Amino acid sequence: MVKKAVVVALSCTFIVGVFLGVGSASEKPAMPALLTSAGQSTDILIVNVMLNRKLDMKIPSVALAKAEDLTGIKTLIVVVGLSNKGLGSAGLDLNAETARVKSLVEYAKQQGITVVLVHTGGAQRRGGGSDQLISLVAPVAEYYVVVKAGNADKLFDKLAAANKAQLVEVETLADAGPAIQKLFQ
Amino acid sequence: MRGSHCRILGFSLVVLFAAVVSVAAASRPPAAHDIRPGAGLSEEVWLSEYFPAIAGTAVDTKVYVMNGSKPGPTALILGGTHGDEIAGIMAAVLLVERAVVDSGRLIVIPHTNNSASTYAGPGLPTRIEMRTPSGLRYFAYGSRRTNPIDQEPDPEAFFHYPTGYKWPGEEARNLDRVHPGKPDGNLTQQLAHALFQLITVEEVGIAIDLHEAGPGSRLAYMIIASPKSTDLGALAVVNLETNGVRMQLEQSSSDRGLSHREWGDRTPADAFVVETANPGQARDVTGADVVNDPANPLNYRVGIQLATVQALLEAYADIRGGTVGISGLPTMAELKTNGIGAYLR
Repeated sequence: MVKKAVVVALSCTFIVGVFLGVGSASEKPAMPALLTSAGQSTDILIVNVMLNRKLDMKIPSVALAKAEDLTGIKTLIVVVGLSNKGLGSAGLDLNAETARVKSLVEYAKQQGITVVLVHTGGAQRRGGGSDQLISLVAPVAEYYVVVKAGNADKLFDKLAAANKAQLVEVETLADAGPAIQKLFQ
Repeated sequence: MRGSHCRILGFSLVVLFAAVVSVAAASRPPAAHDIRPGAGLSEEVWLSEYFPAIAGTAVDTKVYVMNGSKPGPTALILGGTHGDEIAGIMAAVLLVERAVVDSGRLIVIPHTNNSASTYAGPGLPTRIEMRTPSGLRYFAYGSRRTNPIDQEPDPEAFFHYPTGYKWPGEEARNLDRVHPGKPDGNLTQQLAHALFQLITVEEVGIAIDLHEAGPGSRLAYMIIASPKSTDLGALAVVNLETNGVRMQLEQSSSDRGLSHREWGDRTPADAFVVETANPGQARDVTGADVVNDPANPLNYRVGIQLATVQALLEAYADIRGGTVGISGLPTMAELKTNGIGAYLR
């Protein structure tokens, strides 16, 4: 009897989980949104300039965002790309940054927040720790906005297919801002 | 007794020799360069006006001031912090010879470490040649550090003033490791102090130090911004990208003594370094052509330097307010088609 109850409970959890997943996947990015970094490269500064100064989207930027920063947030934009220098300036190492990002994106999913993965750093922000962070964010992101130079090996195509995410590949860095803005329209 | 006399005589000769070398070093005048200011020039002064102790020494250097007719902030542009980073030097020379300042004020120093312009590294030229409308002109191709003739010996280790940050001894002659300088320090520290005085006295709002790195270096084609100025750097990167120029952006590291770090931390100025890729700074410089390298020709590198200076000035105007408006400079396309020489006087 107990065994049956457990099976039913697990099944319910699975079904709810699937519905939540489907629900999240179909959600378009909406305001309010929050911009954060995974890897502490200066790419977040560049995306911030594009979204807020050029496109006036009024999206706050918190490079080291934590779960409590997500209160009331509907969309989390994660700019992925590792900079050891950036990590050093923030007083972090890759393990600490990985733990922060993992905890943040998991919490975002629990809260039904739409996650947008952004990769603008090209080949310089690929491989090693950058790919480690990409593999952390990609499974929970519904949308990827990627500058072509960073997708020469089609990693983001493969991840998008595996995770049923929508991939938007843009030619240049300058195209990334308008592409992100379009997701909200 | 005889041995003792010999020792005393020997010691006296060493002291005499050291004194002669010291006087010779102190009396070596600053190198002269063929720079022909254009109509935009308002005033030409020596850097020693800001710190008289370096007057007449090998590190004194010319400062070119261009005032706009409309008010605005002051921008400082440096070439030749490292004497072998020729694209920054030529970009600064073009600014002096071609720029017309419409608003604000532009201060340009083409050979910031003038002593470093007086000797070249092994396998590299001592000068480059430019065909200009007025004939052939020559520009010094120097070295990274102050000439050892002007400042030696190197200490075993160099401790940055005032932080005590430790560098290898030879960096005592590297201007970009000794900022903000020290008035009673070594000659390179005195040079850095003079620059710091200039920035303070002239109330410089934005300071841009033009550098180069080896083509394989992480730094090549990069803007490095002081921590308080990363938003300006980011805006400049976006504006450059919109015009087809791809530059990376980094924030100053915690290493001490670098211009962008020290000026950014210690003055109100927004401080930046701009880096292009010079084949003369590769690990192996055998056969390096610092002017006509097919992958990184000097025309292209100077175009990038000038475009980045303008993008940073535009970002400054946009974010901080106040425009240093410059006209008269060749575009990247014009430099590519006609070469730098066409725009020199």
